[in-house]
Amino acid sequence: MKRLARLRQENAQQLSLIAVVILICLAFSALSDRFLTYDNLLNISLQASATIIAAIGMTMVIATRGIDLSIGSVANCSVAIAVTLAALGSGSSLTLEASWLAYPTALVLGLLLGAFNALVIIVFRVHPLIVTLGTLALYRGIGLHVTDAASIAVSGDVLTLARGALLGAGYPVWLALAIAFAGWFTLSHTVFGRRLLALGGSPRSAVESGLKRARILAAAYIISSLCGAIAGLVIVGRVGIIDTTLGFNFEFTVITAVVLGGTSLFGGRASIVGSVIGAILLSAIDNGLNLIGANPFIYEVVRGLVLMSAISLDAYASRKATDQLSADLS
Amino acid sequence: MQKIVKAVLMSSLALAASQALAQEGAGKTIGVSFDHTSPFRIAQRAAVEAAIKKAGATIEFADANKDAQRQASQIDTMISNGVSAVIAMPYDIEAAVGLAQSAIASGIPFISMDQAPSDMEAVTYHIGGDPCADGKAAGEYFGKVSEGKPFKLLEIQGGLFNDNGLRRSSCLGEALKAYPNVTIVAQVPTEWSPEKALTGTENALQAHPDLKGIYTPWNDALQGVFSALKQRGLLVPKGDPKHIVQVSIDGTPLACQAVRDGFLDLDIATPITEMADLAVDAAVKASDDTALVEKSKFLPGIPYGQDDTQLMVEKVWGCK
Repeated sequence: MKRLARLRQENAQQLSLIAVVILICLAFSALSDRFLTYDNLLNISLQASATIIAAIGMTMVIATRGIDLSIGSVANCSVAIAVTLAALGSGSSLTLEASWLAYPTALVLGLLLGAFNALVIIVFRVHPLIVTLGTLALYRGIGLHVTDAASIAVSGDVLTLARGALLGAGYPVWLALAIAFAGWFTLSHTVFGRRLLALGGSPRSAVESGLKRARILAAAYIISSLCGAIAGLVIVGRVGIIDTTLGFNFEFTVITAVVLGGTSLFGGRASIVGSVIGAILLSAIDNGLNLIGANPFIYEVVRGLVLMSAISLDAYASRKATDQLSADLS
Repeated sequence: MQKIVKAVLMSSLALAASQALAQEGAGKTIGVSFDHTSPFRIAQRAAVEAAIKKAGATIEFADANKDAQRQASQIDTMISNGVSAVIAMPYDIEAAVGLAQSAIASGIPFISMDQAPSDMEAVTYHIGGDPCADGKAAGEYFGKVSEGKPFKLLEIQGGLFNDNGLRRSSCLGEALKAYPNVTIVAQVPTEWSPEKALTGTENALQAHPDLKGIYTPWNDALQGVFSALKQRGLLVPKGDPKHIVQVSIDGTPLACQAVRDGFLDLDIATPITEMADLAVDAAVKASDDTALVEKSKFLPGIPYGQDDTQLMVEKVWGCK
């Protein structure tokens, strides 16, 4: 019966989010005939890809009742170092020509940065919010130091991942779909996924029932940073520049996408599909506002209203599901 | 031409002032507070350090990293350390008023640089670029190249919470009132993020494939704009029929290269050396209780295009 209620609750959350997406799409398509075109939908998917990738990792972390504020700085630091190393001896003072070696280097760095986050959280038992707030500054500082806070144009093989296309859709879209599928499968169909949710749902019970808290947390933070590094590669590849704003405030966009998607900040409840829809919704809002030539001061208002609507609908739907559960049990 | 002559005159005046200033600052420490780190700010920091060194003073530097609260703490520390004067690039133009009042109440002159506070009366002296003049110069350029024909313009916007971002935008609009054939089809707020400039350009090209011009009010966003144009095969130099007219502001090395390559039609370089010299000059004089001739000064940027080879080498900091 509880399982049924949980299913009802999850469905209610996703349905409420989908309702918001449909409303937004209807509103923008009424105002711009370009919004609901095939090209523009591909465009929105491409623009959402980096946020989707990072949101998958963040969903894993939030499912454990944690948070990773350093994800934008991981994107900055890992990619800045990887591109610099992969470009040694090539390019000019204004441009770095980086080889494909930037990819594995960024991934290894992402893994190491995530492992460091996990190490401090587990060994020193410091709250993830405090640890990742610290590493947010630390990793960003290292990234700025490596690049001397310069704006460096990037060229070479490192751009291939972000600029290639398959069947009309950019590589980042396929990559985001693949990572989302892997994340969904892990969370829904593996023992690790169930343990992750169990740890977030009730850390004490999970530990008492023999779950290895340290291993699960370490895996979650490493996955999050890996996703951050991949998102960084996508962003740099698309923009073609490493500068001080790379990954700046990215954590807020990613966390917003995850929370919009119905993952509970209190752990134990997570939805990869919801996070993907949340990320697409955020990109669709910006895209739609651009297309209709909206007043620049209205952007934050619309984002805020959509966020509030989604959260209110979610809260309402969840309450209905809980009421239904009480009725079923009585 | 008038603007170039003005800029040259301004530089000569600043040079004369800085020579007279040499060693007047001996024994003084000047607190310098920056709002954030960027290539542009790094060049400005080097110019301020050079000017302070020339004056014989020492520097106490702090970077607020886009945090108004942190900047307030850093300036409070400078005041308690007893610096002779503070030169600040405020992150928050409202908060800058309180910071200036607090420094001046402690007998320490407060010079704002590059970013004007919301109340100019609150500071001892303000020296900055002229974002309005730069925005107008950009608007006039678009007006001229449009030659009276219908011209769709995309306006990328910087931060809408500071003076440079706001006035580079509003004064572009003012200048374009004289050219009704030029229509701003989209204004994209970016909070100074090149990634948002990229997505904004992608979206604008979806809605308006016949876009004729793009205004990018700071150079670091150009790479994002270029990337979006390249995807659609529109990143072509001047002279190509598919070329989209582009104007930007700052004068960074990347922009200088883009002007030389013909991708950027006009860049408006900020005269950072002159700005730094005048800020330090005011700081030293005010700390000696010498009355300042004026309360504020706004230096217009130096517009340069592909053909201004000599001007680039001599006056544009990113081309040197």
